[in-house]
Amino acid sequence: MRAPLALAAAVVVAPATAAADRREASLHAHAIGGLVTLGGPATDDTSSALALGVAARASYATSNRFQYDAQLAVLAGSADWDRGTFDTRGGTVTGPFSRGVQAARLDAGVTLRFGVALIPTVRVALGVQGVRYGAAEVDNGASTVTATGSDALGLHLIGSASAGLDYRVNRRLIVGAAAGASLAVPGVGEAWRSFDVTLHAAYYYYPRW
Amino acid sequence: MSLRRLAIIAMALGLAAAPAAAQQSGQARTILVDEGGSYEVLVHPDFVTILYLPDKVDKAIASDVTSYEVKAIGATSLAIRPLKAGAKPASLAVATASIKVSVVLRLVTNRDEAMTQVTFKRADVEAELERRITEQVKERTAALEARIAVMQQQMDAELPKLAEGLIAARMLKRREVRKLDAIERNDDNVVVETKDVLYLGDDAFVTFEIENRDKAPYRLAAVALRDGKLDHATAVRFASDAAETAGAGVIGVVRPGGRGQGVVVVRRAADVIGRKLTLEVSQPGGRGKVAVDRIVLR
Repeated sequence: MRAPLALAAAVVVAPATAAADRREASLHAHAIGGLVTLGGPATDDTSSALALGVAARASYATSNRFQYDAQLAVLAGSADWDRGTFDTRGGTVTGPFSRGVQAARLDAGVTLRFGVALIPTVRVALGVQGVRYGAAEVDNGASTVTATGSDALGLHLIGSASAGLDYRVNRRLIVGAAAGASLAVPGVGEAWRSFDVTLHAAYYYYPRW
Repeated sequence: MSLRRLAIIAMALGLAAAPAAAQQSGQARTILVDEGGSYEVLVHPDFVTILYLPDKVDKAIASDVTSYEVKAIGATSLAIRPLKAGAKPASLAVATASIKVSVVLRLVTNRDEAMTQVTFKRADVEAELERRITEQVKERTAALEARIAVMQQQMDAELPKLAEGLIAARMLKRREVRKLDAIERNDDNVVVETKDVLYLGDDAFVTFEIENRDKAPYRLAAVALRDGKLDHATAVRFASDAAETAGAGVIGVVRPGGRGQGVVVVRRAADVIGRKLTLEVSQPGGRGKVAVDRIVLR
């Protein structure tokens, strides 16, 4: 997490050769795949899970160095934990469990862009994330039972950074890929770390306000 | 000089040198003569051929008077008419104060080949005349050039004053700058942005900027400010920091990574106020066209 932020800070401070497109706005569609490490209710342990998702982003550049953007992303996956104790219809059960996880993140960020046709990018963002933890599916040794009352909601304050490469196909269309990481601010909600890769296409245009 | 000697001279001239065909095409010819010479004149029984001499004819002797009729017309002209359809070539010796020529009369069957007017002129007189004309033309040209230079100097001095006066008058009528925010790009990463419009009197001056983010120079060849298909740009000026000079058909050059500024003049701006205009810029052959639309002058 520190490295991308340091890189982003260095780029902002240094006399950059960035070449974003001043006054251009864009609408992005992202496909996201990643690995999430998260904590959860009813356990102190963390678990890792593969997650897939989509995101939509809108941006506007006021400078040739960077563009501001806001993004709404949703992720879904299933995580396994080693041990947890839950109430079920048949009584209390302790054992390994899994639960579905869905997250929705709204963040605002700034994307530094370093090219014209081929565009390396660095994005940093800060936002809030709501996480829905599904009911725990507990393995009691003989079968899997659904814990009652185990579904829960969580809220994170989350920061993220990513680096990518965009390619401008024509004056309106840019496609690209990026790899990034996110981290929940400790002490606000459950633990959350993710590493993800995104593929995206964006429609760029000059808005008239 | 006796007639006999003239005839001998004429015959000698005719034998000594092949008769030169009269110059020019068509039925009228002009022949330049250096004191003397032999010349072929094509005649036809249907026509009377007139020979014009440079001065008074002293002698005119025909070798075959039975086949050709030769008559004087005034002091400096001779009329020749073939008398027989099958007349053989004959010579006519003509002597004036300044030239002596042998005219070989040759009958032609094609009427179009026959000459009806042949003018003999002295080559040296013609050359002198031409020299004088050339000299006079030179003198007149030099005088005119001098006058033009004086006028140019006066214009150079007066035009700035005139322009300043016009600008001052227009400033009194209207002077106002308004922001414009239209911007567009092409697929080659050339961005064109209108900056503002200066209203000066009845006219409007639309400023624009070209930012070339391509790897190749952008050679601006055409600028139009269109209302539909009608182009309202009456004049365009463009400047940039490119080292490359604009070649033929090019208004200006924007280097890769560089910018250039331009102005489009619109006369009688009132005609386009409130309309949605499109600024079109392109390279030679219409390449790299950028169309900045929705430009509205208020």
